[in-house]
Amino acid sequence: MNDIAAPSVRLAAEAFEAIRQEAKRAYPHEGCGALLGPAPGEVSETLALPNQEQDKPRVRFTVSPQDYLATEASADARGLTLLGFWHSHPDHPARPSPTDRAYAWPGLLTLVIAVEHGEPQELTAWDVPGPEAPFRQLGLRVGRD
Amino acid sequence: MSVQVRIPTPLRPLVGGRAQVTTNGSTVAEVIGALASEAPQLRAQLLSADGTLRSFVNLYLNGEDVRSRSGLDTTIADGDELTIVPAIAGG
Repeated sequence: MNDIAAPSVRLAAEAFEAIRQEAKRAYPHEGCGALLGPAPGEVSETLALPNQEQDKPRVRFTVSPQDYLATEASADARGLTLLGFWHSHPDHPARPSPTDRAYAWPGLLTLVIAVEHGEPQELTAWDVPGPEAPFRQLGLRVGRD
Repeated sequence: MSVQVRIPTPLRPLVGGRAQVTTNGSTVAEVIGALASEAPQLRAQLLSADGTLRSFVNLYLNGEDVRSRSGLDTTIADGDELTIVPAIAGG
């Protein structure tokens, strides 16, 4: 693992708060949403998306292909980039699971927020630097500084 | 057959940053093969080692999931649009 080369993520304060609120609203289910921004590593906004998981929404999340396409089209139309997705871990640490890794795509950020007893807690940022690479934790800064 | 292929954000770096690519093929498999010849890394992202469509990839031909048709053997008509959609999920 080469953490020295790991990029960091800057998250707009409004997006941070939006993630916290949606994660809290979705509890005890997993909440999820898209991360959009003007450049790699610069998340300027988030778009909450419905968790389409039917069987195990407390421990799984699914974004529908239709929601993916609509989100990507919205980003493209506004000159933004779809940078990745966030999801919550109800009553579980903000660490990506094996299932998260199975679905992770190089080139898309993964943000994970823990929600303990309904209250949002730690938020962490991750990526996979290659198709077979493990998750790499990224630095995460909220706000302008 | 000429087909427009919509490329999702995480795969765009593999095709020079393009959101849409025009290529040729008479089946979905041929179109994927043509793409992979231009961008070899795409093959590993879209297909398993045995040549089947990876479960984390959805392909829509003119808006219809190719898995509900003939999968990679689905035939292409001139002017069709193939959309690659990464499966976004986790736990």
